[in-house]
Amino acid sequence: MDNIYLLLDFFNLKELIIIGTILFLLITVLLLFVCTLYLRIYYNTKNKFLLKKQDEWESSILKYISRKRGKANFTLDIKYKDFQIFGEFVENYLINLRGDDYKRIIQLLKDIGYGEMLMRALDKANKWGKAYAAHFSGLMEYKQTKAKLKNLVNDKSPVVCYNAFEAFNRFGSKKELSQIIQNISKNKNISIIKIIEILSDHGTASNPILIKMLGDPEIDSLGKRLIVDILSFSSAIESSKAIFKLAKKTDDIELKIGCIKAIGSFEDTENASFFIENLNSENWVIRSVSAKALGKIGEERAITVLKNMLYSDKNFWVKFYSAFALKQMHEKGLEALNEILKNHHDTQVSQIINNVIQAEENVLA
Amino acid sequence: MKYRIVLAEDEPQIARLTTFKLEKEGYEVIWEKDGGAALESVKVNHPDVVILDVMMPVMDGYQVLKKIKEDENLKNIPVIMLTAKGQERDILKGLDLGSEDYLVKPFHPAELAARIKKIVEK
Repeated sequence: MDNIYLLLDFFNLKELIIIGTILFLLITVLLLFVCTLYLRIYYNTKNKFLLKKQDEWESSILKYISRKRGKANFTLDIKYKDFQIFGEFVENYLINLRGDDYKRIIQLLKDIGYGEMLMRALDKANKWGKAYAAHFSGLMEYKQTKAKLKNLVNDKSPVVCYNAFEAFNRFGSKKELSQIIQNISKNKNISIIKIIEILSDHGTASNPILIKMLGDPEIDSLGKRLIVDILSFSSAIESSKAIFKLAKKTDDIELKIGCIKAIGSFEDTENASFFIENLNSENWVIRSVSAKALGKIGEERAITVLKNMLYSDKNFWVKFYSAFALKQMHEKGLEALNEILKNHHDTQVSQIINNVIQAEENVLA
Repeated sequence: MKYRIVLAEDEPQIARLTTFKLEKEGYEVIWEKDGGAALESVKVNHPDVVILDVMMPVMDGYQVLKKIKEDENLKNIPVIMLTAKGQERDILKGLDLGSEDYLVKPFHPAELAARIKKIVEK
């Protein structure tokens, strides 16, 4: 107490406040420094420990996959608390390998009880643990988790739902998947776009489901546009009928454009009349992509219409793609272009035709 | 005779497993983690086969392949490309640049070993 009075004798209140503030700041900085140092040491040690563990795991895995059948002279003891970090380590093998080595690693996981850990995590872990367990069940194609995954597909957490769906997508039957999709699309917490993306990750096997989704009224235009793009990208010619039906029915311009591009990419000559009809659209993009599609399928019936569009359409891109379509029709198309150059003296049209004739096809496609 | 392979793969686990498998088959494997180091290693070690992952840091597999095929001293070294799934169209690019063969990931190390054997026996 005497010291406080001594201090008050030497300093006034204002000075004491300043000194106090400076001391407080110094102590805070010191504490921050100590915490940073502690955290650094902690994480470095943890990292070193993890690397050592991973070296042991790797050595055991390599021994296991090179062992002859019937010999069980390896040890790999994984505790439940390490289930996720071990999973993240083994994932790289499962993602990059196939054949015997892949099968042996799956067998190893079963031998060490990793499947049971997945089942436990799917029941009891928090949402991140469940999501990871679902993800790994898919990688491991561990069908014993099917029943639990079916429940998790309706989980209120999107991250759990997506991972469960993705796992199902890897090893579920098409019928089961279709049923799940019907339920999922009613869940307002789930993005149907994400579901479509997951389906598309698994290649052409998902195409029948995607084609069916084109006719689903619960799926909006954006979802259908994504589906059409995916089917077009994977050259799913079997989807041509469904996309054509959608193109005729929809009022959504962007969706219609996507459909026309997709049908054009299939180079299916049956739909030529549809493209010719769309050359009269009010929308210049629809006119351009229809012209482009006619060029791709080489529809010579369209030569006259394309010629007309080249010198009468107001939009530059419509003219350009009409010229390009004519070029793609080889002899007859080139004849038409040369005729226009000879008889019509519109500078813009002449420039377009000359550029198109000179340009490489793969630059314009 | 021990054949020498340069393996360019930036994913350490896969590289070590592949090295392990190929060494069991009797090959000498030199593993490099990026395209730049792989190219240097090919120049220094003159391997019998080069295995190139396409996606690598510093220099991708195609760039390394191109440099190998442009070098008079290295152009005859056979190269196998490892491409990721979904990029099969890029296989043509590798073949055009002069690769001998390719494998799409996920791949079977035993299949890689078989392809290497076919190449070295040629």
